[in-house]
Amino acid sequence: MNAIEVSKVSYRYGRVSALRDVDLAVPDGALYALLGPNGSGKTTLLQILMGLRRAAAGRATILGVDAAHLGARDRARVGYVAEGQALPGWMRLAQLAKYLAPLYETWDARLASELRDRFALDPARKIRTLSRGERMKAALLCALAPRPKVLVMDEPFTGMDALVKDDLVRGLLGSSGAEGCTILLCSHDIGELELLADWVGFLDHGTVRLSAPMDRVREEFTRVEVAMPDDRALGAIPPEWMSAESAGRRMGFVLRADSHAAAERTVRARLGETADIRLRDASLREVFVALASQRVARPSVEAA
Amino acid sequence: MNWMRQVRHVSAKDLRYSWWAIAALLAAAVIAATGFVTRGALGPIVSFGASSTTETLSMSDLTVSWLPLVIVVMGIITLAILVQADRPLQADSFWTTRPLAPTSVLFAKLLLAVVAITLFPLAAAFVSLRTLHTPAGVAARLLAHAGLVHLSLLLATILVAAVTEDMKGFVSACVGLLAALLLSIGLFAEVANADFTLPSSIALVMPVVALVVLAFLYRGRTSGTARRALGFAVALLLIVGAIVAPNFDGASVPMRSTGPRVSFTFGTPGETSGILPFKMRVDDTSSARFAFARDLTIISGERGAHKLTPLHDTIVAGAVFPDVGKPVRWILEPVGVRRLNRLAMSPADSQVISRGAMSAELHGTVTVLHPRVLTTLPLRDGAFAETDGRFVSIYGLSHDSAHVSVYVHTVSAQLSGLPDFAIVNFERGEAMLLDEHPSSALGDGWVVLPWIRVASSFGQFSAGDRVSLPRDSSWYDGAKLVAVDWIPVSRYPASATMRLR
Repeated sequence: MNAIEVSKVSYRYGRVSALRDVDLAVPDGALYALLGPNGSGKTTLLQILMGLRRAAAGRATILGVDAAHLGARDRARVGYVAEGQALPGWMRLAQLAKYLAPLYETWDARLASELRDRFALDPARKIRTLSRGERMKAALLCALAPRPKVLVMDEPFTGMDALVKDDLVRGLLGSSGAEGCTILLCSHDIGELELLADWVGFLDHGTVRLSAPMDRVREEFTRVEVAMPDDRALGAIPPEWMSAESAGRRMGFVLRADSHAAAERTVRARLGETADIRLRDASLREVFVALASQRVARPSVEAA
Repeated sequence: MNWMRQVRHVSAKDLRYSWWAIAALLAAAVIAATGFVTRGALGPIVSFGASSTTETLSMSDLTVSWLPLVIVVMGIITLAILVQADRPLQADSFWTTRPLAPTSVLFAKLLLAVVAITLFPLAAAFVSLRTLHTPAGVAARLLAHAGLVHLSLLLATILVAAVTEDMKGFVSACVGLLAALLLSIGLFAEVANADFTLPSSIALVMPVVALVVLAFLYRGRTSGTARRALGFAVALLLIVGAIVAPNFDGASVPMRSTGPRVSFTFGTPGETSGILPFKMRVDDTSSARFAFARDLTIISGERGAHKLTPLHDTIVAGAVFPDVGKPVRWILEPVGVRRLNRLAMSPADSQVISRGAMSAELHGTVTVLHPRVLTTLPLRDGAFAETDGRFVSIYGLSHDSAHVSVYVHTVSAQLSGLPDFAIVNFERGEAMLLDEHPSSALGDGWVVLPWIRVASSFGQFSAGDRVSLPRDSSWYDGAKLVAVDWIPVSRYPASATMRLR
């Protein structure tokens, strides 16, 4: 059962295509990290999921409900935090919580209070006087306190200091996930997400380049470090050797293969048996950079 | 939380947000109404004309001019702020991802627009009108018109605020809309037939359309050029509707198929005067007057028929002296304008007539007017009465054997014409009709909202005749000032063709 399903969704901003036949599925209880370079269509996709934009084609559902027709009851089960989320700046934090609480049957006042303490937010302060990071904390508080079934977050860590970010990621998201909350999260903090996400998607130029469980991503993407025994020319780097970089006789790249053994076979087939090859699971950051670098022109690298 | 509770919840939040603006608006309405209740608004306030040496009397500008405008501007700004606090067409808007029904958010805004921003000023206006003893029917009509105009503007405000991103955008859009409106009116005047007028039903239809469009925008949550254009277009039409809003008084004077016969006699038109001498007689000897409103004039001559430029003037015939309730002898002939039966013409029409016009054909509507004593005041300085939506007071009096002048201040919430004034000595059974002096200071203003007009006049009404005027001042001691209104009771169509040469 998927909490979020996106099927063949397309969206255009005038003549610019923002999303093209996007397919995505977030299983129940998963923490899905949606990655992609700026302008890849992540925010647009999340806004379509929240019913804030209408897809030109395709269908998106949250908890089985068409995102274009989310009712008040459905929205009570979905938390949403957006980068630069508008909050009623004239309200004090306590007033905001008081305003929101009656709207949610599941509003957890104790959790709201805990979050306020954890984020060191002063309930008497007006929201417009909060810093950018504090506003994001307030938005997070508003999204988490109703204990939603699905939490959709678009760059929620913007402006937060490292300490709070770490606390939030490890503590709150972890516990929410444990309680069966499905989380779809866009963030540039790949390092943090790697620890938590159990699914990862990569969106590039409006198309999904990757959507898989984190374990499979680790299996499929191998970081390869090669050291050549002599000054033999490496020749043109094959396009499937992603984000390749070389210095002297050494070269590193990311390779997509079924296993490390398969990766090694592929590399040796090109560089020969004498090459010193070291393999390890690629980090999420390396996968992100590798996939992102595939869309830019690749220079031909010659060994020294 | 059900829909109604959501409305209350959002309304309560909006009230907390904007209580200071709403309180200021209500205070302004109270101050404006207080001006009428205490009569401070009515004047006389001494002001200076274009020449600093010219003094005129007028109503209080603060109460009848500035405050009504302030109330409208404050209402618009308050509502725009409230709508923009929960913008429907912005992806990062706070409420759009909360468990709130879009229509409940919209209805909360409408509730404040109706109750706080419209009904309260209307209630203040009602109180003001009642202090002038305005009949309930007339007050209801004035308030219905004002309410429709005000709500139309507020709906336009909600639309523009909903499709703009901030107050700067809202103000810019309002300026743009006004420019578009002026441009549209200009183009319309160029293209359309001069006789064509927009149906006032637009004012009744557009609020309904606006509500549907607003519900569509709020439910859609999504932005887009088409949605913004739709919002602006409907806002523009709402403003047009507000301009042509009905007065709700069209059916008050019944239309009959016939009435007393009206006949016309034309004199010879002047070649360049622009005046067509004209006499109108009515076969009626009652105390009624007959106001002929010209709708169409066709001049026929050697070069065929020529339809004159529409000039909607009105000519009055019938009883010269009003019925003051008791039979009296009128001791002076009035010298006023009532006997001037002339049709004004444009210069082009004058030229047509001068080029061999043979006959003139007139079509129009006659309104039958019956006299009704509005009030009878003791003839002394300071005497006043509030009746039938009018305030009438005497603020000066002078008389001698050759001349009598009464200075009368009138305020009318119905914009009806000035009443006839007569000095009547009922004991002696004598009366004299007064003529209005050209120096009367006329002015108008508004009752709480700029959609309820109030007119004022500080006028000198006089009569002069060395032969006929009473020579003893005791005649004046026992006299009254009688104000007589002419009430339209019926209408009927009339036309006639007369030879010019």
